[in-house]
Amino acid sequence: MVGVKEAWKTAVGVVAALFLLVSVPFLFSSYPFVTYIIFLLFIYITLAASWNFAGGYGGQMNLAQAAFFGAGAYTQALLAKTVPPYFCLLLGGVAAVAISTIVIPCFRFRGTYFAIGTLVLPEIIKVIIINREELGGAGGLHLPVPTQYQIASYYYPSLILALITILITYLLIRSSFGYSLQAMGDDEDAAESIGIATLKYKILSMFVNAFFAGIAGALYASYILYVQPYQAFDMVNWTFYPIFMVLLGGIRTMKGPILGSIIFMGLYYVITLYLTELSLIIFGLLLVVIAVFLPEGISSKITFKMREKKGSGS
Amino acid sequence: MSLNVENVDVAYGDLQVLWGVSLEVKSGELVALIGSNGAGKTTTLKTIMGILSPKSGNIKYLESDLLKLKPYERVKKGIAIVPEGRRLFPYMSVLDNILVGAYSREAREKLKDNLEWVFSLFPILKERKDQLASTLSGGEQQMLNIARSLISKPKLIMFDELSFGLAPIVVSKLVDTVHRLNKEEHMSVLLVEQNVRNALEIADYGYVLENGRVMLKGEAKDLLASEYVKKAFLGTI
Amino acid sequence: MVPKSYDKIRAKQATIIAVLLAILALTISYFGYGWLTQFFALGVILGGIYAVAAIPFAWIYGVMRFFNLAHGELIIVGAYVSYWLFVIAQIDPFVSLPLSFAFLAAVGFIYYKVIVSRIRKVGVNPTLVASFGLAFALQGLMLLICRADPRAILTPYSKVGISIGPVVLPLIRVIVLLVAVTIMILLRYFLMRTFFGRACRAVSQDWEVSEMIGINSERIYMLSFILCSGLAGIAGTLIGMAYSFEPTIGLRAYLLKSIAITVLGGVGSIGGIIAGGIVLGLAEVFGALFLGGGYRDAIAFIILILAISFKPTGLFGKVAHL
Repeated sequence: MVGVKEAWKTAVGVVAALFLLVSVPFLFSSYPFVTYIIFLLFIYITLAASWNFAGGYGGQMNLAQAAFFGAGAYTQALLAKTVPPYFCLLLGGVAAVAISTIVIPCFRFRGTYFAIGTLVLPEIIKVIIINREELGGAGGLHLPVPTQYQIASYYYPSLILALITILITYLLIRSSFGYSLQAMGDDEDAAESIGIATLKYKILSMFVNAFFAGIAGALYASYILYVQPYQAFDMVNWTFYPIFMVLLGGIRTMKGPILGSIIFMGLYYVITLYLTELSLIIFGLLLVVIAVFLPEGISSKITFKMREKKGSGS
Repeated sequence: MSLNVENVDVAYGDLQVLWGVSLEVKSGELVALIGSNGAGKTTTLKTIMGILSPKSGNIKYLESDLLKLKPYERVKKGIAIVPEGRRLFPYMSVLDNILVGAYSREAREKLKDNLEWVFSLFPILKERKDQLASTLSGGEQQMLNIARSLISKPKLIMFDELSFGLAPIVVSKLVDTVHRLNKEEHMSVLLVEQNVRNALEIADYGYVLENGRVMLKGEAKDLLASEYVKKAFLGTI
Repeated sequence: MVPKSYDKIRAKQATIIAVLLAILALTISYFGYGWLTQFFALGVILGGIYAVAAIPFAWIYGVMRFFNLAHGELIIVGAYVSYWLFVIAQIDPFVSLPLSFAFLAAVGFIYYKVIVSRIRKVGVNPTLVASFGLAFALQGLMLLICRADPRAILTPYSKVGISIGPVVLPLIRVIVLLVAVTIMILLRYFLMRTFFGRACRAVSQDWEVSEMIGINSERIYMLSFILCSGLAGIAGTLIGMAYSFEPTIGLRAYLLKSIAITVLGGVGSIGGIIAGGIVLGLAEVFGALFLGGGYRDAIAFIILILAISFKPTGLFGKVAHL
């Protein structure tokens, strides 16, 4: 059990971190690029945390996240003129959930085949959009430029989005829903045999994933002011990177997505900015090294250290 | 040539299933291991084979420590197991299933002779040698299962649930075969078998396992006559 | 309906394939569309080469259930090895086939020892991350050393064409196809008639029992990995001779196609993979004909999705297996 002192320490730490994060745009007002990077970080944390909910805790290796992200982005692009801004974000989430229903037939497959089946979704939507001019076609759509355009007005929503995603997934995991979800993630057959309606949990957890990923997409689009099929539905950026962040940081943990995103993005930008020629090689090798030496993800090492520090009492 | 299992504790994660199990199979002996479902008989065999590792205890064969050896190394030492449930390789032919059991160098050298011997024990397998294993009947599959483990001419052979799901006629033929292997080929046998009467009638010695512990042990004929065994396994008469 | 022996399975597979192909070819020529037969032949050649590239991937997956995401890169490395040997030392690509095999086998050995054997037991996720990372690293290495422009191994005889009936084909591709087919036949023999091959099949069907009857599954994994990495190298050399290549197509194209063919052909059957390869090759050639060249890689993807949806156990169902 965590003692009162420990609780205070954690609370102070969290408040300090939040304070720091909130003041970033002001600290770096002459370096908007830094604020942009952290904005992007929050987007990725949202994507990682929401994927971790269905994919980590629920055990569903769902690779359709780029479709959720892109659906949110395109919703934002299409409705930005007519709908008030924050409501638009929510609609982006709803649209992503609606799109995700297409994946439902894939749930009858297991493991690898399920994963490959979900890969279709981003491709299908991409193809549809490319062929329909009213959706922008291959050229994409531009969003109306708001009168007050600065990174700070996107930064705070992204911070709030990341926090809300983490909070809600945390509450859900601790609820009875999360209990059954994890049982399913542990062993699907065993869960079925004790009466858990796995299909229900698979679908609902995917909806949660889609919802937050959709909002993230809408938010990103509202900053970039431009959506285009290959970029909005880019599997590498919006599906694989968040998944690797989760694997890096520790799947099935709450801090995993956060840690993983920070480390992944940190490495990525450091490497690509300073070592462009060798970036792919170093990046790849780092992934290998981390997978070999930290197969449980980084958060497992940190927990270990914390336990040691606290001493024999727990 | 004996197998010595000394005080072995085995657990699946936090769940302990064997408690201080000790047994011995002397050279040329046929030892029966009986007990109700879930008593830990398969777990014991799997531990002897090396698929499971004990938390504590010792397993020695011919005075050498088995625990350091991987399963395939134990096979090289002359121990074989006929797994329960007839786990054959479904998409391989009968012949290939048998041949795969002779993977080690030593077994390959004597393959021709051993193969003839195995076919003489189970002529039906020779007839069906090119068929896919999954197309055989239950009894034939169990014969193939046994043949696969016999091809390396082991010195100690362990049968896990010999007669499970098989018709009585087939069972009695298999039991005869096991008896012959013990008496004519002088193979040491550790027999896990549901049908207690069959097992104890051909065995020299027996162990009764209950909830992961050895409840009773003794000469087979004594066990057959014991009240405990009669009540628990042979029905009250 | 279940055939009872290998010979019958083999015969069944071969006749189905051959009959379908023959009917198709005859119908096409008969109706005066001789030029379609040309594409048909090109498609079969492409398919045969895709099959050789897919076999190592399927073998590793079958034996170890390991999805080697670096597979495409290994193939391209093989292509570059032969390319550079040819350009720098004038070694004929056919002669460099065994060298390519040896080099990639060594790479595979290191890959296995350093990476795969350590994390295999932990679970699926680390292996995916690690193989993906290796793919990135290899691709980056090749981009760095070899630059991104497409290359092909062009020998003096590469431009020669031969006519077989109504069809004119690049001679090099026909020879490459023959080499590929020979290799696949040898592999099948190896798989079916040697102890190692039997052990591989056993481990892929039930690794626990395999251990119980005396097979050292660790050793099988390692040897399979080395063999299949070498085979990837050979596939790369063949591809380099018959077509062009560049560092990025490993991940983009060959990995995806190998996965598609593996699913289509069923994990355990070399005959199934050959059939799957031919299906993909034909689909690509004709797809490109009717839809335009840009869609070639997408076709593999479509086939993969169709295969998973309708025939997850492969073209020949569960009957055909390793």
